[in-house]
Amino acid sequence: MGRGTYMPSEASGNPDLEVEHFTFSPSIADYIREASLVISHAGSGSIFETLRLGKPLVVVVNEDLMDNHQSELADELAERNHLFCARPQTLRETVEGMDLNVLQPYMPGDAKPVVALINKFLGFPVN
Amino acid sequence: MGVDAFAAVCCAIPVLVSLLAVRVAYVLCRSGLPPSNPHAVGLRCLIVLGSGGHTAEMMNILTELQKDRFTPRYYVAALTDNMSLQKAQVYEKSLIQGDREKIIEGAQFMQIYRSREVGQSYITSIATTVLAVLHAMWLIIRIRPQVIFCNGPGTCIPLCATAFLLKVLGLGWSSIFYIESIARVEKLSLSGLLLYKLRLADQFFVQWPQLQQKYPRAQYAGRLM
Repeated sequence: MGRGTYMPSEASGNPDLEVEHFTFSPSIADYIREASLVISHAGSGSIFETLRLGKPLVVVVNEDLMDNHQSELADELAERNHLFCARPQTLRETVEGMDLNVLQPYMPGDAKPVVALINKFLGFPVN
Repeated sequence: MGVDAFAAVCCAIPVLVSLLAVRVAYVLCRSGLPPSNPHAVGLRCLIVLGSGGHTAEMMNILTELQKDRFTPRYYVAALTDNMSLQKAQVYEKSLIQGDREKIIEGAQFMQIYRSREVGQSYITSIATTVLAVLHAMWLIIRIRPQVIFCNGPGTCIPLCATAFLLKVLGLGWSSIFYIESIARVEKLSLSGLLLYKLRLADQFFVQWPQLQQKYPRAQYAGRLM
């Protein structure tokens, strides 16, 4: 749960639903790899880590953040069909109504073009 | 005697102000043009780290940089940011382990006061901002970076402003590279907006084409993540 203060209960009341929670894991990638669906807040780190691992993703936008910048990225990626975007109030209907076949794989970005321009600016030979 | 001194000061002030204005204009024109002595090997680098996604994006840039061109490297993060410097330390360690032959100039890791914490009252923010600016000045004067990399956290503003001031005073020249966060699709962040409008960055990168349309002096060279 990161730096949040909400503590979910260990027992979900449903014998088929196992709940585990932690504030931080150094190996969240392992959890993501094992998952068939990821529901996450809309932080860019979480988003791209999940997309890089090729998992279906539903992001929930935190509208209280300064100037609501989380929604720009989530909305753009949702428009490009890389993930589903929801607000806390609409999460349930989003998950119930989503069609995973619509999702397009995300091609990871590359820092090389930016670094090439930086090198060129500084007068270094560009490989 | 008193009148002569007074007259001298009255003449001196407009001259000084004009000189300063000319110097600022010169620095602004020179910004965005490559430095006058290219092919310098081993540029002293300041890397400004920010929480979460910012550091991940910066690490993507760092892994592509030729390390012998950008050394020594100084990493700065906010005092209250626990994770970013750790990540940088892990990365630098991995470089040493990967290349035992070479003696790599040690990277250094520093923390800086933040102008304002999330939720802090605006009154106390004035005092903390002044502190942050003084601390930034101290770091810049100590490090005298030739290159500064930053990508969004507010901690970069006092650092870039100080570096710009040193340029104006002729006390050093830092090439400032700003790469706006990938989370900024339609609007620039406050840091980005300040650096763009005040023309403090030599090169300003955005990661979405829509932003490049809105801010034509920015460069779009794809996404980092």
